[in-house]
Amino acid sequence: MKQLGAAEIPGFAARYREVAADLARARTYGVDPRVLEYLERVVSAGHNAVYGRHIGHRVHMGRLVLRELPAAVVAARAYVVTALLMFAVPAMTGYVLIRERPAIAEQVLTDEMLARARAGAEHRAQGVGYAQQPSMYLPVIATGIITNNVQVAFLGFAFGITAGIGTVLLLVFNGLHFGAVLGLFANYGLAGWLLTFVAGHGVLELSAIFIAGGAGLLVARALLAPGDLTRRDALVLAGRQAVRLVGASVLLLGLAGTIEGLLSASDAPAPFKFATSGATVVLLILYLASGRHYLNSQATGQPGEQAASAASGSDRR
Amino acid sequence: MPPPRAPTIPQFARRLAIETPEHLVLELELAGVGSRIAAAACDAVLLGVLSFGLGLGLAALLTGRESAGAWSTLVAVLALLALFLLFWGYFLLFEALNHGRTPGKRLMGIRVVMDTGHPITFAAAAVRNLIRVVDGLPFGLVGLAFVLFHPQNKRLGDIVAGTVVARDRPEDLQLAGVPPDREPRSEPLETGPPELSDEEFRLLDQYLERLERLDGTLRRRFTADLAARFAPRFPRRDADPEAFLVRLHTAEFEKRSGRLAARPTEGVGRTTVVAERFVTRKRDSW
Repeated sequence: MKQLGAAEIPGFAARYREVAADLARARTYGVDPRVLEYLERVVSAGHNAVYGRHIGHRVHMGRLVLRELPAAVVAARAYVVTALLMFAVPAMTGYVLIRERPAIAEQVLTDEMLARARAGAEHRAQGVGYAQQPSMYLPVIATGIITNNVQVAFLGFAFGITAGIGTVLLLVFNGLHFGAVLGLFANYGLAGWLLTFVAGHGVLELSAIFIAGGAGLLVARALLAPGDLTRRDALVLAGRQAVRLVGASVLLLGLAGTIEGLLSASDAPAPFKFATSGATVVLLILYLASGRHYLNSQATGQPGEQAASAASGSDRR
Repeated sequence: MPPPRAPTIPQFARRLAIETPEHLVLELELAGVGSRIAAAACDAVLLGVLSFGLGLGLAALLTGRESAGAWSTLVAVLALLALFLLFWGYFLLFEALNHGRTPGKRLMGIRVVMDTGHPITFAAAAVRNLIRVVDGLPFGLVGLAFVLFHPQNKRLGDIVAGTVVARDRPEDLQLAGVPPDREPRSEPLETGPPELSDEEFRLLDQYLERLERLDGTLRRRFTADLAARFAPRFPRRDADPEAFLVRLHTAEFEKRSGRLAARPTEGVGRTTVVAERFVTRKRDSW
């Protein structure tokens, strides 16, 4: 289609329609199947050329990242908040549990974590941060963290299809673990020391996990309670929206991982890390605000478009 | 339902009907389980080879230098990123950017398209491949079960993304040229209504068209088989089976073009004649 000049397009469309009509007639007449196949192929190619979306369709990257992704997050905020609760409640439970009954820590947490907690007091005395690493390894660590977290986010979304059971379990267990570790370190009086490490990247990372969890819950909801749509259509629509949430999550995780690897594990002073944390909070708020603004400005256009494309997809069953 | 077609080739593949805006129903032939498994296997092998190559390349890069330093850090970072990208991005990027075909699928002649027959969108490719994780869970059994039992051969990823995997047909099937001995004569000999049924005539037609390309034993065998099939009905015939078939075909064709062909006898009807005239008239414009 790109190769045709502007004047030739109507001619092409007219020929395509004519061949399509020929195909219909040929079918009625019962023409040789091989001829029919040939015609069908011609019509299919024409159909794709005229109606298909083109791969080279220029997607404006900046607009996508800065507006559409956060807009999707804001639109799905109910799910993100639910994911947050599914993380936070077990986290608090874990924290309280370990604080009340320190002995359980031995059974629930890994030996490595316990060892870190025990060694923590000495490290703090020496002025060494939690999980501090020599600077040459930092970029590698950052990359490793990013790839690991992104995979967890992918799983959080993918497990949504299991009626959300996988996503919920992922959130609950991660929350429990997080709370338990915090409780463990609090038992040793090291909570503040740990938080210094977590502060720089923690807000972004946790937000990203909640967003990815929200994506999974979106899909789960479409599966379990499709509302007015057929399950099939609901899943397709939810999948499209959820994948944007995953995109936002990946973005945030990239940033969080970079901060975690390069800054949090370094020997930068604590106030600097907390300042970074504050900066990330502001950044997050601004990002979501941009999304909300975009969402409001699209209020008439977008929902109609999505419903129309779903309807055209379902009519052809 | 599309209007029923005269003699059908048996359809073993499932098909997906799409209605175009011209109110025409196009049918996409869906890829079967076997093709998809084969394509996935090819892709897995290719992925393995690429990962291995990447690992080797990185090892080579690392051993050439001193152990620590900025260089090895860079290489390690690139290694992690490259492996990650390869693992997650292989299917996604091929399907999204290469019109729904990964190398394995291309080998098997199948491709991923949207439900509506359109080329796959990036978001759909992303969804499809993220859910591949769940599909592949216990050795791919979940995905396999869905492909087997879903009416449109969709696995979980396809269901959520709204895609199907369809068969590409070969690009180079040309419309059969008009054989030279078929020029319509001004006065066809009318020796009666056509004696072969539609199916048999088509069979004869196709056979004769392919005759040139066959050779040797195959040709003789087919000729003998076909002649044996028609022989009982035509006691007065040529000795040479090939000549017999050619003459039979010519005779049938003339009968069908003649006036008496309009009378419906044994499944032969007016439609066939109209069909053939229609095709001959329009074939050039296609």
